[in-house]
Amino acid sequence: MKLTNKILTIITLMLCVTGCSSFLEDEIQYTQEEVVTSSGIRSRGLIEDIYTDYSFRYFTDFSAEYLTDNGVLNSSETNFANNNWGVAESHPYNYVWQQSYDNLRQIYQYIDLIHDTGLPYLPSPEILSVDISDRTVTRYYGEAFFLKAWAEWELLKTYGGESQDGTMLGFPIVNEILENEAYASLSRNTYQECVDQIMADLDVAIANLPVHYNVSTIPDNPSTPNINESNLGFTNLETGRASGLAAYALKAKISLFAASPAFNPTNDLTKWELAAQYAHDFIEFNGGLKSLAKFNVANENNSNHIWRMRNSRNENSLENRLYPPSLYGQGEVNPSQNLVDAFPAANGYPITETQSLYDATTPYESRDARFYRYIFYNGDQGFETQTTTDFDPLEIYLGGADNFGGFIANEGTRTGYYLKKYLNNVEFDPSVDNRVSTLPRVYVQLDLSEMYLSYAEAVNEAYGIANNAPAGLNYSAKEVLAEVRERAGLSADPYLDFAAADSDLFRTLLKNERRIELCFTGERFHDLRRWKDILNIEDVKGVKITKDESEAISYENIVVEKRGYTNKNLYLPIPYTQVILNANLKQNTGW
Amino acid sequence: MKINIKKLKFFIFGVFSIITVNIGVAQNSSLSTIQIKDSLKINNNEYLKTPFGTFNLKNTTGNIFRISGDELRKSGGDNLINSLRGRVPGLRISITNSSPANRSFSYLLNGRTPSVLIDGQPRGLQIDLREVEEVIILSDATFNSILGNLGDNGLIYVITKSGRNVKPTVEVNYQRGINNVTRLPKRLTAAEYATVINRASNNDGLGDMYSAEAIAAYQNDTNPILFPNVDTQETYLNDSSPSNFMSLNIYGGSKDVKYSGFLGYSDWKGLEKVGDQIDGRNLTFRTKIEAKLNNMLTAHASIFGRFGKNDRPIIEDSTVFNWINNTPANAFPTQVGDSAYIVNNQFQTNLLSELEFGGTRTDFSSNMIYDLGLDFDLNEYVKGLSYSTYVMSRNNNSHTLATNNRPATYTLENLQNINGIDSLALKVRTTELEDLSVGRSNANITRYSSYGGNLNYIKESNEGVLNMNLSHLLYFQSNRNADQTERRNLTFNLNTSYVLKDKYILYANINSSSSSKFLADNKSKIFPTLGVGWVASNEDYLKNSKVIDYLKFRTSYGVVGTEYDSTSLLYLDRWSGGKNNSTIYLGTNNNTQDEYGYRQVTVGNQEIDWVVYNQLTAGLDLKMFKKFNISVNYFDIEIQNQVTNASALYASALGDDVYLPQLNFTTSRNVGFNSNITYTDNIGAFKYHVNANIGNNKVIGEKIAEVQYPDQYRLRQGDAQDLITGYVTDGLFNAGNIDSALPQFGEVKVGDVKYVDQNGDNVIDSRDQVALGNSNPRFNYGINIGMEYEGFNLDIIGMGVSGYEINLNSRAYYNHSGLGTYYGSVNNDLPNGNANPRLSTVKSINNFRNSDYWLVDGSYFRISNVELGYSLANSVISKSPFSKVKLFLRGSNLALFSKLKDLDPEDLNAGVSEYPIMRSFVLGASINF
Repeated sequence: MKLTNKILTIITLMLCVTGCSSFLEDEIQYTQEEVVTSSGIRSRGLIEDIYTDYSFRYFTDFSAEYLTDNGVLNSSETNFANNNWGVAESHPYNYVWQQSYDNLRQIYQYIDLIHDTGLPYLPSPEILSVDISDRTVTRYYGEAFFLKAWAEWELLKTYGGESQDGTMLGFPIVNEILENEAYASLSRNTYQECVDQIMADLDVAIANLPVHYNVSTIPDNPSTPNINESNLGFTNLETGRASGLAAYALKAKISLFAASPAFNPTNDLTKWELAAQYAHDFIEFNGGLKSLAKFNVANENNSNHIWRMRNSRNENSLENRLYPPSLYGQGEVNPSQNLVDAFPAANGYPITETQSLYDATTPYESRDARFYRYIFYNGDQGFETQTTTDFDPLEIYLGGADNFGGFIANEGTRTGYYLKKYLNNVEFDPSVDNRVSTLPRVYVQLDLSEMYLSYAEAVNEAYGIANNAPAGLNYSAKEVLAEVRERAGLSADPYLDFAAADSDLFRTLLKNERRIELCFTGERFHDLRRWKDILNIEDVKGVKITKDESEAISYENIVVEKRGYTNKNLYLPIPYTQVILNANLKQNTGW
Repeated sequence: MKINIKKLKFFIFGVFSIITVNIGVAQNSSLSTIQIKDSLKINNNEYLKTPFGTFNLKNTTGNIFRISGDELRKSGGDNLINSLRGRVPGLRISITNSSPANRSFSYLLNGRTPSVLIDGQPRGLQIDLREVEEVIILSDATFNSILGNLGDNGLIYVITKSGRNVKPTVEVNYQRGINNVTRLPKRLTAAEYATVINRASNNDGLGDMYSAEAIAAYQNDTNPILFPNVDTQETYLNDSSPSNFMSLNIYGGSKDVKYSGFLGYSDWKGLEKVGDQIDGRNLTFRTKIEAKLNNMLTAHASIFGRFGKNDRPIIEDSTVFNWINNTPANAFPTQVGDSAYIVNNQFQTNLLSELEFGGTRTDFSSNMIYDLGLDFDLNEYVKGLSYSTYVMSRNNNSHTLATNNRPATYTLENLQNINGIDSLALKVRTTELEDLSVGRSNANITRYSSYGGNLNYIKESNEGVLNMNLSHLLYFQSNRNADQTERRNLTFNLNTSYVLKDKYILYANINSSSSSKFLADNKSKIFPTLGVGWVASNEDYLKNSKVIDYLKFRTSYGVVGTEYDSTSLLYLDRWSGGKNNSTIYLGTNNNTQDEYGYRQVTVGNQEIDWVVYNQLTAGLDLKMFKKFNISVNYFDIEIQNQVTNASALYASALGDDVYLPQLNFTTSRNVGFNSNITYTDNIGAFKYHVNANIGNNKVIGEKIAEVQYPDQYRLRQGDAQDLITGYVTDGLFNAGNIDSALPQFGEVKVGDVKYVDQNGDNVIDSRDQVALGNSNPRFNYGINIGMEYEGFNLDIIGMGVSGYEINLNSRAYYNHSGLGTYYGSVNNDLPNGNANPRLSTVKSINNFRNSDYWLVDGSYFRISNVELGYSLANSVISKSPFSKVKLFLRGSNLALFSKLKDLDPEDLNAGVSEYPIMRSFVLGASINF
């Protein structure tokens, strides 16, 4: 008995000691680096992952647009827009710094851990798949450099500017993965060095990428060189990836910014010439001066879209948030009266010109076709043109269904307008049976019409002449801008003829065209800065529409929000916390 | 539902069969006896026998606060934490949820959450107030260091009722409760709401949204369809709800076998007036048996079970209260005719339709805990030596049955017929969708287990008492997520205390803690503790003092190591992603994503180390004039090596937080005191006592990762960690000073908040933010008064907090803007006396910023628990089979005193987006026989 007890005691004591060592190992399941880097296909997920940062940025773009004279948000005042930027601890583009460097790091992770190890895309040794595999590996390498250039471009666009000592600076160039501490002592390269770096990266991209992905999946398409038996990897199944054409477009865009007044204070004309040349290269590479296709973001196969990304087709948050209240939307984005006034009359004349036949008592009659496509206005009843009837006429007057206190009492517009530009014709009315409430939509990063506008601007600035093509270039500024105007329904365009005769007049016209074409892409904020026009920005205006008992409508312009910027707003500030942390990081002037 | 009833029946059967067996064993047993109790008294020493050591409570260097279960049961109901409110110095208990099925509290001991041990085992809060024998609060390193990871913030040690060597005793207790709503947020009537909307819209030049005729119609209630005025609180809520509590305790035993059984039943109902109201019940049981097998070995085992079932509407009670309070009175008539539920385009939810038609949900929960232990009396080998060990296993399951319907709703449309006469039409807003299947979901399965033991040696001599423990504890807690870590802790302790001549106490402990959350050498660490005590009243010069009956000084210093909180293993590099994982959609076809997306998500730190608490406590216990009982404790706890990614110290060009390894970086210090004073006296047969207790603490960030702003006043190192920062304000702009306004945020107008420029740069921006207050109470206190006379007793327990501010900014109830929801508070000044800023239809970017404009003193005092009882005199019951009979009336949350009048400062969401805090009255009786 005693012995049994002793044994029992000892066993019990032993239990506590044994089994303890393995008890402290926790085999939790998680994705390890090898899982990614050892697989040819999975490892390319590092590149695919980056694209999402540049896709469906609509709401970021809108918040940049609120900083301009183009529009406001319907539910809140606009921070930063009225000369209250503070110490720049937060501003709408603060995220760019970290996001860009994050992506640069991930790109070098891809290059170091995967590309440089020679990991094939497909493991199978068959002859055919070797070609496909090599081709795909090359393509991903090109994509990596395009995405690198894009991240660098976002840094340059956002933070490029003049330092206190007068040098034009860009961002700190990083071409590798550094030690943690090294990031805290980076200093900014000059603006020109940054431009050169991005151009060099784009050259690598161009050398490794197909021009475009518009070939079908059927092999042996003779028009596409460098592709042997099959087109796999380069076909339209890949549309949305970086392409050679997109790289050319980005070059043109960067050179235009570099030539602009804010970044080219001495007005070095060779920079404008270079910008014209890059835009020209792009146009030629794209097969010459082509007509613009119809503005249509629902078309996933639109030849205007140089680089675009798409979402799931079940996406309708844009319509949900932007539709006017009577269409069951929240009316979130309100374009300004200033923007509405920028749309010319149907005959192409600005509405301030007497030839325009614009009548202030019927302001929404006979306007440029883009007005009807981009803006929801009082009485509007269609998506495409003035005459289409897709829904009941909007009531954006005091007491109307689409005003505050109307169909949805807390939703309304502060300016008298709602944004229509990117919206599809879907139905939210719950009492409608079998309604279509989602349609495809793409998000366009690089667009053909923008390239045309850039070319026209660069040529006009470089050569001071819009009517004729300068030596060495095939197209005049006027004929390229005419393509943009033609899509807006202005085929006979006397005002363009008139304006093209005078470089200054042409510049004004071009800026206005750019404002309309690129409205709510977020581009205007940067355009206003690079033109230095942000210093003379107008207050955001709206219209108060009243309907009296005899149904007569009257319009009264109101100031919705004040705008005010000073010299320092030509450039955006480097994040305040980074300047405190890193003494080498020079802040832009005025901040 | 069927399953549950079966389960309950089974367990009721189980409980009784176990009790039967126990009694049977007791009767047949003829083995010899030993004395084992949770606390046993030998001479001057009183030993607490725990699974992790046997401790001499009378002569300890530790800070101990004890309160008996009978005292705690002067609070109604079954909740232990509720009964501790206002009772324990330094223990601040606040209500966090008052939903009848999920009542919950936060409890902070000296500012941090302690662990609860049930009979010394880490079982979580699986305890019923009605089975509590005693609660001991252990709040210094003397005890905390022994539990390692579990003891970092102190311990609430609960002893449950056990068998003892008496004839079978039965205690029966029944309580019937009525719970009344205390505070509900104020709502606006339809006319008031319309007036406020007009005010906001006129401020922004939008004109009247509601005509004077409409407002009059709301007021006169002439057309409840077109001009409704729905009092949602009245429509959907009852004033009170019932609850019932029944319990049975049985215990007894002989020399060799002791048994106890507890069976508790509680039920509750909700406040919902329509549809299926909350209706739930739970059943708790615990059986314990202890049998001496031979001279050396005693075995004990217990089973605890708690089974709950709660029926409720499919929508959460938080949704119910949100909708009640957010929907304006004029939004829509809830129903037209008998069947059509109405909504409008702005407020698209109809609570009536959801409650009546939305569906129901039943939550089942089951907690089972088993433990089995052996006590070895090794006296015959070495005198005073014993070893005890146990294993505990806890299984926690819950699952849900639900039907979720979508009710049909309609909007009202005003149509005009060809004659121009208005007529009313209904337009479909949602179509009805009946969920014919009953969905079942398994919500949670968790397993906990512990295995512990202790080798104890006690040697008592004339000179002193030597007490040594060598304990071990293994603790495991599963995690359902495969990519998250489980808790795996291993703790060993070797401690010795020596008491010399009942005067001088010396205590030392060496703790070895191990955890799976660390790598290599960091897996196991050694942490020491030291304590000394001096019972001055046992010195000769004080022994005969008429003033001082007892005086003891004690202090302890200990290092407690704990794991980091994160459920990821911080030493690992981790990647995440997969197919279709936030990648792009390529091509022009309607295909899925079909691409892989991968990215690194964490960079590991292989050096990650233990968070270390350096706990210093000093205190004294004093008894004077045989009436005063005083204890005072001071504590200073330095918490080192707290884990942070220290992002403020790294350049953000490094990338996002992914690339920042977690570091042992932050140091904070928790300093404060707690004190307890009791005065006990009697005037003849009238006995009374008055008790006051108080706790104070403040946590300072001594080393923190922060951006090194050039403005010194923005640096927070050395400041309290609960600091509220923001702008200093100078009232609202008026016509006189609006023209001289500095640039603030957006365009400021008359009636907007005016900020003070701190740095003199004539711009208001983030650099003008300063420290404004603190968000955790600096003081918490309790006041207990008890009296007894001729079998009657009256006990009143009050508790309060003070020394902090509540930030009303971001509290929807106090921040008014837009054309949507408005609360009744819009027509009053803020609780701090400030006027509401300008109303506007567009949310101001100027006014709703953290500033002193929104701060209000959060102090409150409440009468938390009261009991009026009557115990039948012995002379009456001595001839009956009863040994004790008590009748009582109990109340809780009877009164509240605070600056905030509309809401409850203890839980600002109560009544707004949660169940309101309830005032309860309980009538009951307990009978022993």
